[in-house]
Amino acid sequence: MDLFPHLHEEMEADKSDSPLLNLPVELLVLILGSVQPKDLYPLSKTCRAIHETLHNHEHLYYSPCRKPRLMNYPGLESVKISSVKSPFSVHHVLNNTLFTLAGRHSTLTIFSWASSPPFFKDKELQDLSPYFDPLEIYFGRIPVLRPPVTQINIIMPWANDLGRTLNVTASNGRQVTLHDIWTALYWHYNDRSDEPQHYGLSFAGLKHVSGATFIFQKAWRRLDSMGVFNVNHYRQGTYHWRRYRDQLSPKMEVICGDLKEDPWGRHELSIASILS
Amino acid sequence: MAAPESTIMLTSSDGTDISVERQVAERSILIKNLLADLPGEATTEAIPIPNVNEPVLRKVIEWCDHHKKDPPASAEDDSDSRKKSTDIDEWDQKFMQVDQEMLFEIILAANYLDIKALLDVGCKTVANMIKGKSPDEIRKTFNIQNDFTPEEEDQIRRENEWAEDR
Repeated sequence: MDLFPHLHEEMEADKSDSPLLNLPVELLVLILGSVQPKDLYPLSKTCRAIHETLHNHEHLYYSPCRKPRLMNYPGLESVKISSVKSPFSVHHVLNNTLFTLAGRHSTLTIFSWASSPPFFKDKELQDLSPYFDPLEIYFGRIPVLRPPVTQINIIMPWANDLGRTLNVTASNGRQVTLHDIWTALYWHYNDRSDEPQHYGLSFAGLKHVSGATFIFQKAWRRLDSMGVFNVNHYRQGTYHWRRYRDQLSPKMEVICGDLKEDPWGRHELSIASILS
Repeated sequence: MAAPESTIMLTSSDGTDISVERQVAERSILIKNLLADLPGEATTEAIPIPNVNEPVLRKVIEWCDHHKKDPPASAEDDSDSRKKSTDIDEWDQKFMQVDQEMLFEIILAANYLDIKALLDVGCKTVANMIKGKSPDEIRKTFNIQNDFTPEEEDQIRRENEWAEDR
């Protein structure tokens, strides 16, 4: 089966003079699989196509050069991946986690909030299943159990539950739902007013801590218009929030902290701090 | 011990016969399987390697010779340890200090001959040539033409800003 039909077409059309880009696609994917997407996508249209292909297939196709980033994280028994929607794809996270956990009988929990299309098809799930037992896939807020998944086991050592991960209160005292937040983000990224079928939001598990910050930076106007002023985020470092503080709504209060160790080893937070 | 079987002959794409220890040649799964399928007397004939020219084949044989005593790749290697690092053995690093054309030829040959460990080394070498470089440097290194317009570049940068290390 040709996993990369579009890429074949793209590269055929490119007729690049680059010896690298003239390698067979399968070898190119093997080589570039370990290269950070940010290094790849700006190079050329073909490289962007490769990046997008890797983005879509990296859970199936991984490089010998992949350097696991969670390898020495003690006590990590499961991973929760929360993905908002493309480009905040779950695959970006899998890029750094999947094969580190492979063989450790870890639980992979994927919360996918994209309305369509689902990130994983059944075939892809089957390809993942040897690496994770049990394998949990959630779409939206409804657990979707798909073959060969046989067990639901929610263990989230560093993400806690959704409610604790993000606790938002509106200025009128009303508890802002995840639905509200997601709708705001959805509007921002899609510039459309219809609501997604599935909704929800959790920032835990984004590849880069700055990813969550970036979302808020972009979405704060929507959040502000909704009267949101209090965001508790339990795994965000204050540094990144401070970077965007001037751009955040003055009414928005961000509480950070309470994470023993960032799984990427970048932050060590023990005391909650408040930006006011 | 069957002494006559200890050496086999490979014929490169440009018609050069190269004598090589069987143990060395069998680092290639392609050749190993071929030899296993051949009747005993047939192994005295030269085995054509139509996709690999003489300089590259000699280079590949050099690598195989150095690694002939390495344990064969196991299924576990295939799924785990082999793929977890960009580290390259010092000897392999020196071995891969060749021009780009030869480097890619070695990768292609390793792929064709099914020598996974050599393929890994080749891929890691190229990947390491990319890492830490700016887009312009990468383009220059690999002769990649930037076909984005400035507007497209800016758009891409903004779309992917969230993924940047900060």
